Amino acid sequence: MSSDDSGQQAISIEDLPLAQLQTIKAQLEAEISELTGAFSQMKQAQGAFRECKRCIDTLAPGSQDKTILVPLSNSLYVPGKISNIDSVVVDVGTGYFVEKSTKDAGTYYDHKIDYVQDNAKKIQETVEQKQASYRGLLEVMQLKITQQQQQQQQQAGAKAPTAAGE
Amino acid sequence: MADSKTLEAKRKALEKETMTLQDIRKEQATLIATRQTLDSQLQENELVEKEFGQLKDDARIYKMVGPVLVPQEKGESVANVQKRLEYIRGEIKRVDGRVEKLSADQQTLSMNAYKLQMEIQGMSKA
Repeated sequence: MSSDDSGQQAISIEDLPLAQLQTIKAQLEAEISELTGAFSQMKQAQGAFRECKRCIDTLAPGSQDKTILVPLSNSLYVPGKISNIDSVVVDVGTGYFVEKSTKDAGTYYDHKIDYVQDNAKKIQETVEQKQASYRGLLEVMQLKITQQQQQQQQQAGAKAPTAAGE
Repeated sequence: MADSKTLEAKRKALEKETMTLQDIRKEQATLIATRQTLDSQLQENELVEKEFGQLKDDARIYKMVGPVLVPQEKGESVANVQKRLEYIRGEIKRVDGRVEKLSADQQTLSMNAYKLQMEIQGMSKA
């Protein structure tokens, strides 16, 4: 029943009744808002990966043995010392962590950033397409509504005399 | 008299059909949500599998168990992720099959409901 109407290019939207157009419009709106949400999630993820990458960059040679504050909670810190700047442990997802050299970790995050960027771009393209068809749909609906109003006015004008004749 | 009885029966039948339709729609909604979770799990696991594929055999892998990281054998981790992938793909297939079945059911049911409605309308007019 709710098959993908927007994908059916064979049927021109001008041939569909207004009620059906309304359903398609609601569908398109839902799709667009979902995709926009996904897009901002992608951007957030990208920001997180950039932050990780930046952290790795701060582990440059020379920061060995420097003192740092290690957060135990949001507001509680204990002093610590950087004892190893050559390797880090990276969260690769689903609960798995991998020990990597700082260089490898950097490339890992670069790949991640690119991957997310690609996805975000794809989403953006789809959003633009959907928005274009949404605008088209609105135009057709507007046209239909005006036509209907005109018809109603004509009918009302035509009916009045017959009603009086009966 | 017979007419009013059949009319009543038809109304009851229509009510039943509508109820079943509603149940089907509810189940479909939950299935679609499940399907989406499975999809994202599949993607995450695929990424982990890819990452493991690029690792050297002596790479140090840890698994988060509660608040601690437990060292893991690479072979074991790879096997574990593959097992998960297999399971998730199986689940996706199962959910997809169920969704398809439900859509088919829904179609026949709404056809029936429509027919009943027409009949009831015809009878109440007569």
